[in-house]
Amino acid sequence: MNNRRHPWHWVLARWEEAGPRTRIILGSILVGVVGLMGFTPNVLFGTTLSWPYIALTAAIGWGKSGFNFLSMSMLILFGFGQDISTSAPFGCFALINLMTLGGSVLFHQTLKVPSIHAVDHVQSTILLLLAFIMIWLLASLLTGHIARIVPIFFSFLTTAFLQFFIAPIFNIDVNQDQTARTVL
Amino acid sequence: MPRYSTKFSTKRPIRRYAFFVAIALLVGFLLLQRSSRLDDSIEPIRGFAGDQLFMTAEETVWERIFGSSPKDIRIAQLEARIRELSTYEALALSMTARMEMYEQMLNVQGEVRGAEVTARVVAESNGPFAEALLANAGTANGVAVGFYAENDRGLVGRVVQVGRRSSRVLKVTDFNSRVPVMGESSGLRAILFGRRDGKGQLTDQPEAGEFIRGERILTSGEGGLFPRGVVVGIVRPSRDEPLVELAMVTGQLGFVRLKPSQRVLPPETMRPENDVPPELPSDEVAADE
Repeated sequence: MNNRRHPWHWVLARWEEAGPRTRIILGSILVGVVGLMGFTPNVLFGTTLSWPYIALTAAIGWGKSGFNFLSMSMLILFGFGQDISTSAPFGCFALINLMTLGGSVLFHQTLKVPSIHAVDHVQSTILLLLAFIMIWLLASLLTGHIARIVPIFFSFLTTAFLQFFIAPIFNIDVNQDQTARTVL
Repeated sequence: MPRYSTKFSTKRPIRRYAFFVAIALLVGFLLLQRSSRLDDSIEPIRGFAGDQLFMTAEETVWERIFGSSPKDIRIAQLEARIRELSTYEALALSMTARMEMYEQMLNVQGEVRGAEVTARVVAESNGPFAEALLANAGTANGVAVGFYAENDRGLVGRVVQVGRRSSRVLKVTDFNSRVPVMGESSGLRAILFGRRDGKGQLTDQPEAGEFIRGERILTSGEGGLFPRGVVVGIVRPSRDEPLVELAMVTGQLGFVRLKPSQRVLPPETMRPENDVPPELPSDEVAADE
């Protein structure tokens, strides 16, 4: 009974009741907050921090439940924001985000990969790696020179690290809420 | 036992069609931007978006109510500083008057100073596409494309895009940035561009010779984008080609000074104000018409 009163259980119960639309909106707020924080110069003890591309984490998470108009729209919107912040041509990051979503749908639904935690994390990391390779390829193609690999690699590491912890937030499949318990 | 997903998206073909249509549209949009005309028409949108980004650094409603905004604290600090500096004002004014008198006696030609603006860096992107930063001063503050940015250590870059209240500065560390430079001691000229490791590389030397290790690299003023003599960095030894350790410190750009490039035109391109163009004979005017 005492456990029931714990605020985390209240949050968990509300999360389990929430539908896909609510979850996408909450996930979008998280992406927006992390993205806006990334706009500012992120320097810690004189070292510039690599900021995660959290929209890719959202694309991978939302893609597990198939295509959804709201998630696709949000990813396109985030993509345009990323284009502005990174001085990329318009549509570049929207394309990458959508391709990642498509890759996630392909992995989770068409290929019918077993949905156990370890496999889930591995395939999410592989998808993330593919997305970063796509960023590097597009950056190299559109700027006319080989893009720097080191900053992209560090951004990949931070995104993969963050994804390990916050991936359940982007799970919009109401039937797989056991993952939410692990994080909450 | 691992669970296998049983859902398949055949029930939602419209969503899949929408996905592929969106992909195709975005690819088409990206390809269209290879056209410089379309790319130019997108520039105002980027400028507007930059302005909106600057808005995030403005005072919030919460800060307005409780008055604890950094702006208020800064105002108090500046007021104290003004009180302190006012004692030096009279001294500075008398010294300026004396300096003007000396300059008149020596007939010194003073330099024309343009509108300079100190702007705060509100965003910095070192992404794979371009190394640029966003400063919170734009056309409303007199900033225009072609201004160059400096901080207390040296050259930062040049303004490539301007919004109403924001401007995007392409840093000298960017691969596509090209700065005509010269060695302070050797006098050798070269073009500097950003390397992947954050240093500058010198290329296209018109003269034979080598840069001296440890000498300062300054802008040469050629091309008219940057004035002559702005500190860019210091030559560091390397195996193959001379590298430049840039004076600006990456990631610690709190403020930048945006300055118009003082391009001094050669006399043959300038016409004196009193010079009246010679009148053409009437038959030549008719032929022109």
